Amino acid sequence: MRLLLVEDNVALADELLTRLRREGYACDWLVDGRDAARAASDEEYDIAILDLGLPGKSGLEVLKEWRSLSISLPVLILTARNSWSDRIEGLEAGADDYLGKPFHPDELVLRLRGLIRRSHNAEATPQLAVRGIVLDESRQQVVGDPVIELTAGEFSLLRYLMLHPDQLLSKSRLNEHLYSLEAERNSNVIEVFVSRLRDKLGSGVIETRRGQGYIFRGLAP
Amino acid sequence: MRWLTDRHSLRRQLTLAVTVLVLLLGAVSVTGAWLIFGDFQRRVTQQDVRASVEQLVAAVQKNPSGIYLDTARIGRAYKQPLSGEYFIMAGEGWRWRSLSLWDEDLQLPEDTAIGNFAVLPGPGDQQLIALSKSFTRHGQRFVITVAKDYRPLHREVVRALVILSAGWLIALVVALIGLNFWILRSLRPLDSARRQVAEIHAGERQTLDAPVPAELVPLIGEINRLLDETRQALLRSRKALGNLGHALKTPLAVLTVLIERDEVRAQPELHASLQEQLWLISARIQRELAMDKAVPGVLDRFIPGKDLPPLLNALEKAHHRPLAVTLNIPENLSLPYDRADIIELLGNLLDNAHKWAQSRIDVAMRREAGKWLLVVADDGPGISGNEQRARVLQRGQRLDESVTGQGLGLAIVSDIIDAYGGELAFGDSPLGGLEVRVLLPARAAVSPV
Repeated sequence: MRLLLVEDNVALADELLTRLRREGYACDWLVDGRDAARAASDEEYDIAILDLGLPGKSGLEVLKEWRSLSISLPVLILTARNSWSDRIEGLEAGADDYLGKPFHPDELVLRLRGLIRRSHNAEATPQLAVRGIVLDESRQQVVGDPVIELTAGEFSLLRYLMLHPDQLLSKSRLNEHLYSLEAERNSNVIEVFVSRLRDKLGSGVIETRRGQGYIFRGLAP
Repeated sequence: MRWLTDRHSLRRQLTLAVTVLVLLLGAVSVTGAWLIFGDFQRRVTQQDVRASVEQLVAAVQKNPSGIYLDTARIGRAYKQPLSGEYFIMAGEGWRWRSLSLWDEDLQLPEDTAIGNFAVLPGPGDQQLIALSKSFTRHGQRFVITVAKDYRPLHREVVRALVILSAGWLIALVVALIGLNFWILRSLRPLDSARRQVAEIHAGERQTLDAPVPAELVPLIGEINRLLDETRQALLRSRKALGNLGHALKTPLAVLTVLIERDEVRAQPELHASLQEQLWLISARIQRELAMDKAVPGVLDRFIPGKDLPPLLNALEKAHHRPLAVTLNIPENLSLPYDRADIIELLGNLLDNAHKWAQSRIDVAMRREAGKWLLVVADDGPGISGNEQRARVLQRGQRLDESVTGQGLGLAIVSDIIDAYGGELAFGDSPLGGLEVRVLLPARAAVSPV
């Protein structure tokens, strides 16, 4: 999942990025509102965390600009302005969730998960259950007997696949959504992860369409 | 008529001044008139008497038998008994009396010299002014004394003075009526200015623009300047408080995230301690910043029709629970309270309701005994027993324990209610859960005089 973090406090951003990457998000970090306004059109993000007090352009302005360009990216506002009237203002400007500072990082992770699930028409439950596979996001495991451990890369890929069941996902799209701007994108890595997942879960779980991409099928009903 | 006894009343001062002035002028003019008329009366009478003397002297005729008085030449009044006009002529061996004298006599005061006027009582109540003169006519020497009753003229003079005095009294009354009318008229703009100040206080107006007499314009101008400065100062101070709060929140946010690092979590006691302290700091800041503290003259009213839907939307997005929210609010309602304060108040109450409700929440607003009643009720477990309710309220207000968001929300709610001088009460909702009742005093647009 591709995440855009727009936050001008370096210390906070540092901590958040560490935690979010651990949760399997491919994160890009911006500080200036003007850059953020452009970034959402340039890249395919799955979710954005937006601070309001930004240099260059305020978070609300950035959000309004995104929405006016029909960018329907789920946005969580993360801000010190925490009164109900501020909250209403943020939501009316097009935000999908609003979290006040200071906050518990676990809370942030939960909210992000909820936003992502809902934007993919899935329930915001702790475990993601799709087509017979149950993925525990907090532990990055597949639930079952025995529990199946996943590496960070496998987990990210599986989660993305499970949120787009029965959809044809090209390699380039998968690259777009699983790797941040900084990361090196090697299309072979995806292939490797797919084959590993097949090893762990079953070969029918992910279907290959030669030259086109992959489809998540899950386990037979 | 309170103003009559109030020493500082403008009306009283002016009334007294005008009364004294008019009475003084009246007294002076009446006295003056009295003196002038009195003098006039005396001269006229004396003139008259002198003229009568001349006339009578001219009436002394001579015929072969001697001198006689030609009665045809003397005035009729001398022939009418006790008419008020008398004469006595006395010569050598003879004495004539006017018929009018009848059986009375003229007794001039002893020390009256011939040729001087004298005043003496006459027949009945008459007051006579008399003059004696000596003449020689037709070879005879005689003294003629004429006396006239000066009362009629005197009465006329008195009558004139009475009319004059009455005129002054009427003038006084008219002046006082006119004065009071003008005072009230001039002071009415002050009344309208007073009403406007009350409106400013209730936040319905920003400046005074009552039409006042030119003398008061500088004062009104100064008041407007003062209002503006006060408003600016309050806004500055609020902004400063806000800036401080937000400046603190950022490092707090960093700390809050930092203490969730594995290294810290590995030490549970330290972790818990740090968490608690950080929470206390941020709760305090949150609580202080929650009060919008309405500025006089700037009232952004809470309009349920306009402001509730976004709030309910925000709550729905925060909780994602399919709750049925029923609104029982008069149409086109506009509450005379600061919008941000009421949003904060209702936001926190509804947030709690959303947490605890099973499926339904009711929101109602209505007037009750001149105050505004806001009710938020849910069908959740509620809080049973007065003791329990009191404890919840207290816990929220004290914030000395690491309570959940519910405590902080209630603390903010009671802060806002306190600031407005209102009341908060818990009850049992007909829905089966908790009913929170907020009673806010009505803000009158004009304070009672």
